[in-house]
Amino acid sequence: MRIVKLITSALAVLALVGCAHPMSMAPELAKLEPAQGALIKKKVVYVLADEARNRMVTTPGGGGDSVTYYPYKDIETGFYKMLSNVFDNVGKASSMSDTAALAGASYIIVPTVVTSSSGSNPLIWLPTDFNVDMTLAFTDAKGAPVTTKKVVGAGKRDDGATLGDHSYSGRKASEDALKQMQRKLHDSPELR
Amino acid sequence: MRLIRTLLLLLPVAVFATGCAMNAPHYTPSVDNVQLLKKGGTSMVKVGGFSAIKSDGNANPISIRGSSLNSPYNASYADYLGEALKQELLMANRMAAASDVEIGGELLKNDIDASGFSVGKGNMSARFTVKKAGMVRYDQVKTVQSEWESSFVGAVAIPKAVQEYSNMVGKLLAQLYSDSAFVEASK
Repeated sequence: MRIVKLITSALAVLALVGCAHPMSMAPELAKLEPAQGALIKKKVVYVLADEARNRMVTTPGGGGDSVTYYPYKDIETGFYKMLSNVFDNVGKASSMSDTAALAGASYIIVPTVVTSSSGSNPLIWLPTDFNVDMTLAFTDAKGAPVTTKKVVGAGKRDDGATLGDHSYSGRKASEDALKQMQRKLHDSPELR
Repeated sequence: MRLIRTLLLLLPVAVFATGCAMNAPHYTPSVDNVQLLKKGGTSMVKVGGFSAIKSDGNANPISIRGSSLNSPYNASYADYLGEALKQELLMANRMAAASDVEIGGELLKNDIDASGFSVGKGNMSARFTVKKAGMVRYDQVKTVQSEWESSFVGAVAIPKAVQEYSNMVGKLLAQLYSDSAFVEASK
């Protein structure tokens, strides 16, 4: 009986080590305030395939564990709001051949989001540092390149994070990336 | 040695159940849902009250492997549904408090089953009504059933189930927005 209990407990310990914990890097929408000044009166459509949207990513957390999340799905609503803070008409297409969704677009945007994370606490799996590398490639309706914008957002667990808030650093990194991108787009004369 | 053995014996409990109380995440609008609402027209609407019937299938709080999942909106899942609808209408620029078109509803079923070691399940059903100047123009029930990959490890299965709750709400609202009778009634 004693040996059965010890084996069961050891298996439980093994089950917990190296776990991949689900989290979200979705930004808090209220933090994405509209830009000062008039919106750019153009229709933009971003292209996001379902495959990308549903892609799960695993990056390091703390204590030998890792975290899983869906970068495009998590950031999408914040991304849409950010674009709506800059342009007066925002749409979405699932591919470059989605002609109905792309109709009337002045610019077509292909977003690329690359993420990384790490955890400095050996006892807790929560990621203490999170980065969101966002690149937007703009083309016109005929596919000719217009401009490319890139930002890197950083999020760090600080005194504002509670232990129960698993997504703090990811959320902060997304908010940082989106705020930086909003400023860049708003200040880009080639987009007006 | 005895202390280490005691701690190791307690770990299986941590693996399978936590007994914690937690709040569901605030609803994040779905871009696909916002696009559906925009496609449905530009008429403005307002959101009225949402209530919940008392039944076994209408859980509040929702139990997930011994943990309690509470709604962050007044501890009410009916209010959660109403708030989700409001946020998507706002993002679609279709919300106006002064509109004479009002959307209301009643939560009929609302539950999650995360007891499975490989599959988690959710079940949600609500009656939605649309009234214009007090007259009922739409009265339909929408139902959604969700499934997702789960885990025998509670520390993985529970947060996953919590995340999937808002996805389930989004799917229910997508059904509503896709209904041509709803689109017509909201004009």
